[in-house]
Amino acid sequence: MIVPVTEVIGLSLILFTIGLVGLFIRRDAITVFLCVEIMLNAANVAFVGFSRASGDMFGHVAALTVIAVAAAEAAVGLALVIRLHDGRESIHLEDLRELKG
Amino acid sequence: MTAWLFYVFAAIAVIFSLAVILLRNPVTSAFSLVVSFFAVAGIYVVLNATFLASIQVLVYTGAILVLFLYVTMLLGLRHESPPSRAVKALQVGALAALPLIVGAAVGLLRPFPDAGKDVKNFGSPLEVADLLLGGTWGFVFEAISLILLAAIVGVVLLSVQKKSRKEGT
Repeated sequence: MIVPVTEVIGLSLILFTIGLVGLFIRRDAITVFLCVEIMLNAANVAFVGFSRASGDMFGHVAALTVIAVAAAEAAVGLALVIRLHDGRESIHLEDLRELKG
Repeated sequence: MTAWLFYVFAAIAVIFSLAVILLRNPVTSAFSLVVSFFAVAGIYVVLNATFLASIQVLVYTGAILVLFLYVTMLLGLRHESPPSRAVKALQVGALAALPLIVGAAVGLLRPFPDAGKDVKNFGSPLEVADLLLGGTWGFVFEAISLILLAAIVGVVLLSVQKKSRKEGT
């Protein structure tokens, strides 16, 4: 393998941690979704790295599934953001205090 | 493929992912993520996952992130929203990241069994299509289409409710 597996998984870990910390410190809905996408991408990198090291193609299939699920989740999440934006002008998560919409 | 390409792409991906969480403008964050995803597609090419690299660029960057940018621009969400400086948020973030880092440090320090097999046609579209379309993982393909169908129905439901509510008021 071109690069040792350890380093690919290390990269996946770094990206995942960046996404995780961003999930906590960002305050608006769009950027929170972007941090979720970073984490999904990091998981994909780990899948591909292990798949290359073991010669098993399942990692590629799993990464494809993750991309498809991320597409579905992004679509529904953005539809929710549009609904949120209808009533109020801001999408800061701190301003969402009422349950009725 | 030379090995230094991996490190270049990895550095770009990490730097622009940091930019996503640290920059103030949501639109700039989305564009930084686009660059990061392109770098990850480059990593996939170095790791011989060529089909996945093209899917990453076409579907992930080209459809999902474009949808993000479209919604952001449509709703005019250009306002600056800096990351939270609240101490509590940073503490929770660090607390969540710490077990990951410690666990990974412990796990990655031992030698990995590296098979390093060079399978013929590994990662090419032929190989993936052979597996997905009626091969070993055919049910995954069907499940993906069901998931996308559920997402479509959900989005349409959300939009239709919005329209009828507007007509009612």
